Amino acid sequence: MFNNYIKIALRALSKNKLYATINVLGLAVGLTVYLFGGIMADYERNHDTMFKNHERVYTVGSIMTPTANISVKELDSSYTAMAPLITAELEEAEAVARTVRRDYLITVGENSFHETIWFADKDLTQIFDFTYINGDSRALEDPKGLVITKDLAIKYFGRTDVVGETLMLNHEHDLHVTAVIEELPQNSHFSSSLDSDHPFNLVAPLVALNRMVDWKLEGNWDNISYGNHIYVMTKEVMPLAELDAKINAIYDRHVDPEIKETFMAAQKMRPLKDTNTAIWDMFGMPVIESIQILGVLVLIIAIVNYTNLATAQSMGRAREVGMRKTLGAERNQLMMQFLTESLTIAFLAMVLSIVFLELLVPIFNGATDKVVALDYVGLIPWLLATTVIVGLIAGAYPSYLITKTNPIDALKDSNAKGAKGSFFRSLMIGTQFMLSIFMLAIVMIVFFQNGKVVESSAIFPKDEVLTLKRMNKETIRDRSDTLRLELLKLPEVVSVTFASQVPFEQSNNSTTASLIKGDEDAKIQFNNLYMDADFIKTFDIPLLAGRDFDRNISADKRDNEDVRVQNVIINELMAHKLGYTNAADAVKTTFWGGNRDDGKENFQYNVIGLVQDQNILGLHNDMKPWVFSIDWDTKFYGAIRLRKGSNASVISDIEDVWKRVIPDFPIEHEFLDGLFNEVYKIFKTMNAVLAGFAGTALLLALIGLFGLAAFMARGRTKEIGIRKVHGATLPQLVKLLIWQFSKPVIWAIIVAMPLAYFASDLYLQFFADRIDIQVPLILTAGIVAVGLAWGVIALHAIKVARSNPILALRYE
Amino acid sequence: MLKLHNLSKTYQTDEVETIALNSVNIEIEQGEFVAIMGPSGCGKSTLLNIIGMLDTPTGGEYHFMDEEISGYSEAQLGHIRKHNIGFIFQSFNLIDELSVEENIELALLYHNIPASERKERVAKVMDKVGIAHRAKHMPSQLSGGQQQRVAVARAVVGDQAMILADEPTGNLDSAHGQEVMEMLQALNDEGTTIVMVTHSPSHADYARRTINLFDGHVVTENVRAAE
Repeated sequence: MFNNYIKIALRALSKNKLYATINVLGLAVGLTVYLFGGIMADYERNHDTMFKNHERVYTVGSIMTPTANISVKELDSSYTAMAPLITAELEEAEAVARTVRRDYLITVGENSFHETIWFADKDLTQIFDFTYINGDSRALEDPKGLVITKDLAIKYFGRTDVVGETLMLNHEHDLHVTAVIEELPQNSHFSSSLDSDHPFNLVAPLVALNRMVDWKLEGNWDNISYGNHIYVMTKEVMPLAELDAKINAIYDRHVDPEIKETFMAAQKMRPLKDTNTAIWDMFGMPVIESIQILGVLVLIIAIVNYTNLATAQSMGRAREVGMRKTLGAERNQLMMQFLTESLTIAFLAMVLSIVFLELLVPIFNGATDKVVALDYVGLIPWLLATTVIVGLIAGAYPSYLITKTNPIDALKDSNAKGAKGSFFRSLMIGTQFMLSIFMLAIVMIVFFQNGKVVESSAIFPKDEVLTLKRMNKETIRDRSDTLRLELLKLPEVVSVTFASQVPFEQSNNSTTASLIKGDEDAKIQFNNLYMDADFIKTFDIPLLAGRDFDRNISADKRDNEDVRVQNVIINELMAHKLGYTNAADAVKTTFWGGNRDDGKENFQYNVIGLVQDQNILGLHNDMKPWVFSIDWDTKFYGAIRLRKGSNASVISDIEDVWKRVIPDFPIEHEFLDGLFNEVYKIFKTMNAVLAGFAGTALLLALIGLFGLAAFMARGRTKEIGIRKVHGATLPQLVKLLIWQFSKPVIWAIIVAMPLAYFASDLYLQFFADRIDIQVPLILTAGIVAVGLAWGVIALHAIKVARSNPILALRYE
Repeated sequence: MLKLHNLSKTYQTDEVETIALNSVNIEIEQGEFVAIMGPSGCGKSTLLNIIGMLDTPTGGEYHFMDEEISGYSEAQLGHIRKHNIGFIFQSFNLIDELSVEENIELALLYHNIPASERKERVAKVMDKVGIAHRAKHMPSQLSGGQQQRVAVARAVVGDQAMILADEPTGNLDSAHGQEVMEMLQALNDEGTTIVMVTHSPSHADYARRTINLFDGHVVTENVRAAE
């Protein structure tokens, strides 16, 4: 009996190739997107499971207060001071380790390389069972020890048995290799593809950092960096909520209440395997959940497609059903038959979607540096369940509808029955379009908002500024004036500046101040930017009042920590925060830093100039109140402004100058544009993913509509013939057919638009500078979807309406 | 074999009541060959459908093999139907996706008969109607006459006691029509009860009795003298 069903199913498919192609392909595409979303989410949520202890390893993250003003809601790290406190106060802790990343110039023999060293408490090797090629887990107990990965060992030495070899850091400190480990796999948070700037390939003990730069081993309460972690390994696997509560209790006992109130509200523990996804929590975007939901929505569209087409097509098989009933088939036998068919199609679609996945996953891995694997042993139960569920859901309605009909009606094979189930079908078409319009609207909004981010970044001359990185070494800083003067001799160089940060660098260094000296409650929070006299010129920041910094005025530069007064330039927002309605009035006034614990005098800021508000952090960030000043040492970046349209050779000229002035450190440069793109790529990636999902959804909906229109038009062939015989014109007929589909589509628009509005609002909330064309975009999405739908239907309608009426009538 | 007593069928729409059959009294004996004739719309097909249990009457009684079945459910009717009645339609109603032998086998598929026996019976009946050489063909590859033979084979493969034929020759040319009539004649000779709706007086002549319907009434019944 089943053979018979499957045989019929396959033959029915091969007989109606358009139908079969649309159905199998549509379902396969839907399945592919759904499976891909699931596999992706699973991959992202299951990082670091290669470590033996991963189930009882947690990372300490933090939740920011709304007033923290750093444009993220959470951080994946906490104050380094927390680690020793956890060790001391958490009974369940077996080992605790911090990582602190620092850039160093590593010299091996003749060669030098800029590298990131992960300084860590020695228990790191107890928490993570790295694979040792040489040496062992005691590697970090040596205060001058260094763990190096195999690939880096080969890059430096050409071999892996390098234990005992010495490496120089910034030409002044030495470490020696105590262990060589295998590279960590891609699916570890250590190798997160969103943070590829800091590969995990050099690990040194924190005591070495303490020796080199006096980094306080007890940690601090004033500095947090994304990507630095505190790992806690408990003796047993603990309920997350319980651990969270205990860590927060420790935090509350020790944190300065003001920090808790104004900056970091609480600690948030994550299991190690979730640490990789912390970045999305930071941004407050449920990206992984969204991918899963979108995958399900696309699958729903595909199922609806199948249901619609199968229902329409089953009408053409009414005669078969009638005959089977006449011959004694019972209703449940017929239902079985149709369900077998939809299961067969679901199965074919699943096979095809596995083929698609096999093609897609390697491309995706190549593009994103991930190692998503198709592990069929683990996937098979899920794949089978999905096939069965999809097959049953998709087949349920058509089989119910077709087997419900009375055999006489069925045998008459009357197309009049097209009307039957038309409400349901309209509902299905409506659902499909609702989802498509929704997705299209979201994609357009994301696209335009990203465009806005790019557009507003244009206030800075991104491709005329070459930034120099890793300038924060005393020995380089000492030569920066010489470097500047030498660079200015190049005809293509307009200006050179050194500063604590350049535009788009996502870093917040904030201080609080007051208009009154000695104010107990200094609440005006602002961002510091340390620079030299050429910064404003280099980045084209318009000066609105007062004057720019001047090298010849000694008060413009603060020479050391004991100087408690400073000339500053502020932006308009800062002036307003200080209470000046007319921002220019702030010039030549003074404001004061907060009271200090160390007994030093309140800091005095003398405002000498006012600049226009410019979003220096750019991207999604709010405009910040900025205070520009010149100090003696805070310089992390250089920026070289080039003449417009300089030719490429200027880069090598700059490199030559650098080599002459600073021969002992290699130059590292990047156009400001590149710096912008490093952060912007997160939005771009999301945009691409969303567009992929929505595009697929819309395409599926259109294909479905196309197929359905074909069937419906065929069902009305006779009617069209009769109408033509009686003189209906082509446009009249096309209008008739289009109208049939327009009602559900219009309903879809009405439902989809508010949904799209709310969903896109959630996304836009993240950006400080938002597009104001949300509503027109949503309307456009609706119009585009309906336009495409009409186009598809019209194609069919024209074809049918053009045919000879006699043919149409004879067909019946 | 069957007995209709005061049987009627009306179709009710919102405003119009159409009487398709009005107090029809018919008795058909086992082994009879009955033709039903009458103009278009007189209720022939409705009558045949009710006899075939594809449709239910709105009034009167229907005794089939001494069982009063007019109130039976669709499932009950289906059960009686599949064991006793075979159908032949004007438009053949073969399933396009199945081959000749599969179409015939379809009639046994819902009878819990093992596959080997099904094959055997299908082969036998194909020989009988002379379609064995086309066993693997699809309906679309056959002529109308051949298709109707397949339909006849399908109607009898389950050893049905009665065959209902709704204008079995309506779509066929006269030669092929003749063939089909001879086939029915032969089946009747073997004892199968045959009830046939036809427009053709010459084909009605194959029947031993002709029932003439007009506007849902039985007008006349002619019995042909035994030859």
